[in-house]
Amino acid sequence: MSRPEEIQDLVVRIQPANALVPIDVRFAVARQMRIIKNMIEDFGVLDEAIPVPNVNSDVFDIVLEYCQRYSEVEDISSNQTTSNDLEINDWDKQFLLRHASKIYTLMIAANYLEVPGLLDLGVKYVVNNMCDKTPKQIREFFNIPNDWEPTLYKTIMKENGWNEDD
Amino acid sequence: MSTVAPGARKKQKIRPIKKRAPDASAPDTWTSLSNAIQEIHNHNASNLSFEQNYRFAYQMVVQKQGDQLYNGVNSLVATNIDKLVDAEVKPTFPTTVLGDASQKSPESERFLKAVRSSWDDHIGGMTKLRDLLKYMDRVYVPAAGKLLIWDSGMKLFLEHMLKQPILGHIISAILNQIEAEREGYAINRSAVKSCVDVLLQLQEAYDGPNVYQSSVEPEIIRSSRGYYTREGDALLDSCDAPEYLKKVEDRFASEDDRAHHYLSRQTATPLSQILEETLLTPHLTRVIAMPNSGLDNMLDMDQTDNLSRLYRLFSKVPEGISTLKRAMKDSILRRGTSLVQPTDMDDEGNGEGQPDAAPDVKGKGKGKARAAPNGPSVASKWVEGVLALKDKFDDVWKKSFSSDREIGTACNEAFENIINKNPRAPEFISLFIDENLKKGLKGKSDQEVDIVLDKTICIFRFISDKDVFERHYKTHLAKRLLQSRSVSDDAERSMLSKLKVECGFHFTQKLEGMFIDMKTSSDTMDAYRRHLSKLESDPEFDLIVTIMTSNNWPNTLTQSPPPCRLPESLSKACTNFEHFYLARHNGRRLTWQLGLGNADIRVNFKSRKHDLNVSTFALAILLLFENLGSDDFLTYEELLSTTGMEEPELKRQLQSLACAKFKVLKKHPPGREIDAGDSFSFNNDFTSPMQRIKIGTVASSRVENPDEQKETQDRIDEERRHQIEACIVRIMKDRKHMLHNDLINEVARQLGGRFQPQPMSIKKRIEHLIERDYLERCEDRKSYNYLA
Repeated sequence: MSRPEEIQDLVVRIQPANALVPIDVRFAVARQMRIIKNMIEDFGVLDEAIPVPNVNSDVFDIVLEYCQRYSEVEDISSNQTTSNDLEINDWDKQFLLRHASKIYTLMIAANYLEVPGLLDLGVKYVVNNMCDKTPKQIREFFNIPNDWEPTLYKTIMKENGWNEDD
Repeated sequence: MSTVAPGARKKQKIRPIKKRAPDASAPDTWTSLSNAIQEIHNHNASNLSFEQNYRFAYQMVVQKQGDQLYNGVNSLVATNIDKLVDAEVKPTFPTTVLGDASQKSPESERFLKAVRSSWDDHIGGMTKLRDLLKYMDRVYVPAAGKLLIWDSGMKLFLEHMLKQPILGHIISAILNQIEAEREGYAINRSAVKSCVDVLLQLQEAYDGPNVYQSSVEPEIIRSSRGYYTREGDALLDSCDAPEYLKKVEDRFASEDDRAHHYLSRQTATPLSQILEETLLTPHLTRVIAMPNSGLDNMLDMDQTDNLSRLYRLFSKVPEGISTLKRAMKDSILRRGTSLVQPTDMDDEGNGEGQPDAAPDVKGKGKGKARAAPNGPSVASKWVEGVLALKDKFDDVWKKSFSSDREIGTACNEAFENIINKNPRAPEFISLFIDENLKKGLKGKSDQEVDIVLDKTICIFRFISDKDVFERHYKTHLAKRLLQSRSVSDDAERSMLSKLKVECGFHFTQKLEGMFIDMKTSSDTMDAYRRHLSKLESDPEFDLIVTIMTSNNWPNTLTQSPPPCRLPESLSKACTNFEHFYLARHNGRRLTWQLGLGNADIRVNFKSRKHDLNVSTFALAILLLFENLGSDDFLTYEELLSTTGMEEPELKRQLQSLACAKFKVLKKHPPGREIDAGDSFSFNNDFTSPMQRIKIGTVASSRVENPDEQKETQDRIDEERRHQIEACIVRIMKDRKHMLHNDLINEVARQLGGRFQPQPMSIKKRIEHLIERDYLERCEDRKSYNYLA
């Protein structure tokens, strides 16, 4: 059994969807993803790659970036933006701005791979950007098509239009 | 998608979510997943991909097929349990209906093992499923308000496995194993334990009792109760008391063991309670009173272990200690009362030793040197018997009953009872002390002396008529002091101080006075001797006088001294001393008590000289023979007139000189009785191996004869009357006015330390005082006033 320090360097093989070759990830990084962590703990590190077909490789890379960052930080729980307030620390802010376009897929991946910090981060981003916006603005920001049926929409606007400056 | 203008730090537009089609249609996902689950149930999990199945479950939940997933899994689990029931459990149903516990035991064991292995199987499967369905547990279950898959699995097990008839079989298998073990057969405890563990973990309702508590435990308790009720009766018939107790103790230990090892710990208390109720409580009196093996036998044979066991077991039940107390009391009472009447088997020929037997003063016709029926050894024997009894019971109390307070109190009560039942107890105890202080303590170390005296004080405490004791003790002490018979002054003083501690100083005031008198007398004698040497008169003999302050010394000794005319030489010496003393102490009156003195006299016999120690009266008689030859004799009448003694006294003295062991005088005619016509001559031919001879007067410290007893009792009564009256007056003077009942209670309380006054006698005293105008009755006839 390898010593605790070495275990951090153990290489785990993960194969996301549309990746041609499996990606070698250090355990210290990989264990941020709880699903990987549990699997390693239950079954040990195997030669075969762990397939994660739900996650595309580009999204996976982003997740890896996040995990990489937080494997280097010592006290994981305190620096990650997981607390209940809506504060986002600086690195996370930059990170989000870079990858904002893929925020949805990122969150789905984080949910599946169980990276709580990343999931919370995404949620906070969304929440922060929903505050103080009209529905129209929200639709515009999040690129949500207006799928109301037009006549129905008109009726609704007539009744509730007092908060819509359309 | 809009493009970003170069240079502008504008937010990128978020890519919308692509509605991705699921990888496979939902039913296919479910089919694969359900196949996988079945493989798990078949112990084929190693061929599966964990990740893949995890993903299937995940997808189903994400695609809103959580319901299907949840219900599907549950039904698969249920099916699996049913399969286990059919395959493993049903085949091992115990089939033996008849037969005893040991015959049914192997089948029960197999059955319980089968139940357990089904459980293990189920748990193994559930663990894997839980891991697999983690996403569902995390996301779907809380939203849908359902049970986590693990809890659901438990519930399914409960419903499918632990229902009748299986549950009934389980219960009876467990009961069977318990009974087999109780009968002494070895069982496989782990089989039972493992099954019980399963039952402990499952519960019907959330927060309710688990299956063990609700279904199994009541049955165990019920059957145990029946089992032990039967066993109690059976054991009683077949065992004697120590065996019974041992078996019961073993049962307690084994049931406790059982509860801790393979039943639930909480069952320990009800089980031991059942044991108490069935084996102990109903049979307490029977066990204690078992002939030839019950409490009395154990006490007789000093079976400390058995007694300890008895105590341990009996103290578990509330009625146990009170039964034990009663039995101990009865035992002590029985043994104690047999002491007072020593049996005919007394080897000293003391025979009945009845206190009312006629005193045999004149002759000890039995030829044995031991005491007559009224000798002091009756008293000593009784006291020693009581002491031995107390020692024995104290020992048992300390060793076997761990000095239990209630039992100690009961024993003390019993002892009090015995001691006060013997009306002569105070006298006997005083005599016992007397014997010890005269001879018995000789050669003992200080510690041993202390121990003996302490034990005596212990017995003394139980006496209720302490004033009777005081009277006797005074008399005995006086005799000891006057005749210098005490073995050790220290011992005397030690005894006195112990009595002081017990009863207060006024009890021992007069006794101390006696000691002081002795000391003062010896000082006075020193002064007298110095005075004589100054006078240069050479007295013919050495006179030693003991001056007794009359208040301190018992009246019986000092009242009405019998008369005697002393020869001139003696009376001159006495008068000299009187003058000397009265010159020193003015205003005192001296009365000579010749009956209490003794003298050392050297007598020339034909063969040799002997030193004789005789009483003063005997001295007076002997001196009359001083110048007579061996052929001269004096008649009884002559002696009577010369000495001026009273006849009974003279007879007594003559007996001690002529008819007892050392015949210093010859009586004509020889014989035991002194008659009027006898004559006496000096016995020149007297021989004895010893140089110094003590010729004692015939009566020494002995138990009183009935006349003396009556006299003592009268005196006691009179003194008590005075005490009661004094007490009443004291109380009334203080309170001025009191109710009748209160007065009686107060008097009883104040005098309780010395004796127990009867309410009747107190009433009589009150009336007496009313006659003499110390008190008056009030109008309501219930209370009294004090009249100054």
